[in-house]
Amino acid sequence: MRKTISYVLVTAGALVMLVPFVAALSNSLKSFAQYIQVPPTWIPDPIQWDNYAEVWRRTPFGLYLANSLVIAILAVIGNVLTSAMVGHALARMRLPGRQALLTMALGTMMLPTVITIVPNFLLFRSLGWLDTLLPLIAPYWLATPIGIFLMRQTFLGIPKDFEEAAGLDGANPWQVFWRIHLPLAKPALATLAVFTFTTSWKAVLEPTIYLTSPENYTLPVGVLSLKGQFVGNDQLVTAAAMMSLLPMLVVFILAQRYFVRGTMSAGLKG
Amino acid sequence: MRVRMLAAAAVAVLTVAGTAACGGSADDSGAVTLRLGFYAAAGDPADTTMRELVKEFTAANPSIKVQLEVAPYVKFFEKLRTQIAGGQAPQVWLSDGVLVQEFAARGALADLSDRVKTVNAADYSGIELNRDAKGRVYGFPQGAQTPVLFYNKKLFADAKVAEPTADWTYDDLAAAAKKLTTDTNGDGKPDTYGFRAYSPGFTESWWPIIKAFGGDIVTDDNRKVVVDSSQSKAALDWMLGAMGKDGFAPDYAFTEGLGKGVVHTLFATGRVAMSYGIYARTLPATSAGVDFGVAPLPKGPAGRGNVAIVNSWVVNKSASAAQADAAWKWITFFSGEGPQRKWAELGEAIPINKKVAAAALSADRHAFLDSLDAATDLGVNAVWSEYTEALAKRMGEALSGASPVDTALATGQKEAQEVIDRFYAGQPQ
Amino acid sequence: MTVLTGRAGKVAAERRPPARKRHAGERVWAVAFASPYLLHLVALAAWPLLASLFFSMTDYDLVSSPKFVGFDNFARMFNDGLFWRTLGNTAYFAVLFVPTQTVLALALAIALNQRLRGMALFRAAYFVPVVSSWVVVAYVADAVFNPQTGIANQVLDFFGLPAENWLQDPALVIPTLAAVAVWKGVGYMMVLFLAGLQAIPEERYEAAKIDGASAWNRFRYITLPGVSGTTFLVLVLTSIETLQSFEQVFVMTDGGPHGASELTVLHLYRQGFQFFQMGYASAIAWVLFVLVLALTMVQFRLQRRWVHYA
Repeated sequence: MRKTISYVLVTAGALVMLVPFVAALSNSLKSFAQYIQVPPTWIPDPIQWDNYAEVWRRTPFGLYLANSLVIAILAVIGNVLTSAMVGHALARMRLPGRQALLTMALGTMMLPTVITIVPNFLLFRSLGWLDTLLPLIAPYWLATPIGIFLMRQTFLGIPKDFEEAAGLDGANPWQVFWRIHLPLAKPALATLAVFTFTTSWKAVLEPTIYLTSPENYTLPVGVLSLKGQFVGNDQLVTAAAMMSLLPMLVVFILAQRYFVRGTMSAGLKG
Repeated sequence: MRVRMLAAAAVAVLTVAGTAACGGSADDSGAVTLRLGFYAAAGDPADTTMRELVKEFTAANPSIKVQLEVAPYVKFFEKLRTQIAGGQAPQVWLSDGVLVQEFAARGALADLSDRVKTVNAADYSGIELNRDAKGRVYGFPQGAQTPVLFYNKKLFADAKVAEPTADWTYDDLAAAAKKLTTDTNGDGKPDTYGFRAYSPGFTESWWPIIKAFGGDIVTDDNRKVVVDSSQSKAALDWMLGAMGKDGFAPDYAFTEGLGKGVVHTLFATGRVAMSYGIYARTLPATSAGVDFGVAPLPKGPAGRGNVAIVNSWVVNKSASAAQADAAWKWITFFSGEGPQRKWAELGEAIPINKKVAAAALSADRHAFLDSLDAATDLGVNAVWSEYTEALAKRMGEALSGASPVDTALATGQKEAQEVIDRFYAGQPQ
Repeated sequence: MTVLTGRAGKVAAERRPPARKRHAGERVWAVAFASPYLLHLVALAAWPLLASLFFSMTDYDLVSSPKFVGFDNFARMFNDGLFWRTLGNTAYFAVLFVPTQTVLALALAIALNQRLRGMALFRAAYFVPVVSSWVVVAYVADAVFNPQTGIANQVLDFFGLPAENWLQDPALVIPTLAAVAVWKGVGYMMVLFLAGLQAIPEERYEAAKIDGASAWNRFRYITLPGVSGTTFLVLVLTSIETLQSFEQVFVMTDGGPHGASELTVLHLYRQGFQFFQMGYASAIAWVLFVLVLALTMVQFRLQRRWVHYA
């Protein structure tokens, strides 16, 4: 009985989640005439697959994709590496002022993005980084608070005896970190990786501010710019939006358990 | 081992990302590199023509190298503003006419007053519309836009209504529009409306209507907002009547619901029989195969309320002397007869070269030229975007019925005035 | 309970000196390991805080050099009707969004926690909006809420209700945005709750059942206290996020119709990057920062009253 109610609730919810995507997908396959037709049709007739080809032909979509990928991959590498290092320092090393740093990390987590917009713009301007991909990558190479907390938590959970058991008494801290602790933290690393990838992939504000040349656009900014490109042809922009979702969807399907487990452990463990 | 690979890869990609950004500034042997920005959708006829003209220009001036920076309108200005903030704006760009003074006031533009003196002002339209309160000129006209009354000949013929004339008044417009409003499928809602009264683009909506009714938006060098008047109220009431009890115009919510880009297709798709439209609107109407005519704006109690926007070339203040010279060379090249004719073929803007304009616009399009001659500017000043946005919000409230017309006018005037005062209070007079 | 607070106990355990002799350069190593974050604190925390505090007291158009104006920007903000309106819009959005999302996420998590078959599939369905960018969501939402061609009005029509203008209606725009935001975010919060639920020991429920506790009482006295930590986390995260909400309105409505959905951060962005008033934008940023801080502190205060840690 309770299960039945649950099934109904959860299924209804899942439909609410997915039907809009189907509707948008349907929109992306319509001709303009059908796109604005009232009442709308569910199944486009004819199905205009060419919308996708047209987006690809008429926009530097491949370039946007490449930019988004370069940024996301470098952000992932940077954030996973540096957050693990800092998390390790906080959890397993004799770092002076460890408590203070921990508190400050908590504080920076509360720091709203809005307050950083203007000063960071000036910082990157003075570095000559405007209209490059760097402002979207570099911050991830300085560790993120959420990553630090996740990694610290993970490293705290690794029993002490591992170090001794590994017989690496003479090893330097980097080797201990790299050979013993990091491999044990793989699930957390994967979690941090997928979350960083998603965050970077989805970003709209920063790329809007920092990227001005179309050849530097990321997918979201590129798709947004198409609004003016295909005036009155929203079915094409919808197709472009659907196309920009695809890579993220692939990553999500491949790494789904890390998203879910990650959310769970990041949110709750400890 | 794997660390090193990782690090190497990271350094490699960072380097690529870094170098991708630079480049483009170095030049040798006295050649000038000019970054030239303009707005157009990629692949549009305007884009193609501009590229051809640039090619022609560089062929004639081999020492000038031009780098184009093109983006669709909204994106172009969004990015231009960040570029100005970042000190990275192009050396010469095409500015929406209403924004020239804004950029100038931020110290982003070179004063072109002296250069403009070298041309024969009588040959071009719109130079005076770019002059600021102190008599300085920061932009040179590229193309002009002014609203006139578009009408769909077929719909007029079908409804057996006489086509608009230059003598039309707002009452004539309303009477015709009522006859043109039809509900063919009998669902109680018109399928064709006589007139499109409201548009988020106020150049083709409440601005000229208020002026025609004897109201005004700003006066005193465009520093004093005077929109809160009984004349403005009469104008908005007329619009509300059109969308409400008279029912010959689609209402506010319907029009907003279409989205900004689609509003302009209302006329092109035959859903309204008449609409105010700037010259650029001839393009979608023509390409949709609509048989249409244009007439002067109807006469209100105080005239027609003609306004114009002169889109203009502007030169970056931080351009080097050589770049500024090259930029001016480009501007005079573009204003010349050959390029102007070529640009006129697009049918996107009224050519600013008067000789070309007279020849390029057929006799039945001369309403545009007459309107342009009679037009005033669109209230441009250093905070145009900000004050008109404040005002447009309140106008939207009035025209959607969300708040009473007098309240909206009063608050709109107050808020717009605050924006203007705040800016000019901090300026040396 | 969470990454946010960590556990004092373990830290204390860490502090005990290890039995074996410490490596001579261990501190140096530790600082080296932590160096990315030390740099982060300087460049991405201290600098923006101090710089924006400074700019908030200047008139700065990013082109000419900043001019010191004292507290003028804050005085202006106080009298800026539009600023108050955006703050009101933001609060209205938050009031609709935060509780709805929290309650729905909890309900879905409880349902999913019944060991349903196909749970992974369901979870995935709820997560797709979470990983989508706002740009994608804007077009997905248009397929639903477009007044002419969207599904929402078809549904209303099916039930014989009049059509609505959704995002174009000043009265409906914020509720519609909140609904879309819930749709996008509920999956993430649901998974958080799911984790919280799964951490509640099964025996407690067994024991309660044996004692004859009703389903409601089991929910009230076991489930709710059991997930109070998660709820707290969810509330803190969503409040911070909501006060800073920008991308959604930037992409979906641009603040319209006539400013009815202009949220504070969009206002800030406009002032800064559209109207070149970086000083004023910085002042708004600081006020928001203080608000976020205050809200978080209040929540931490209140948590003592209702959050139970197992």
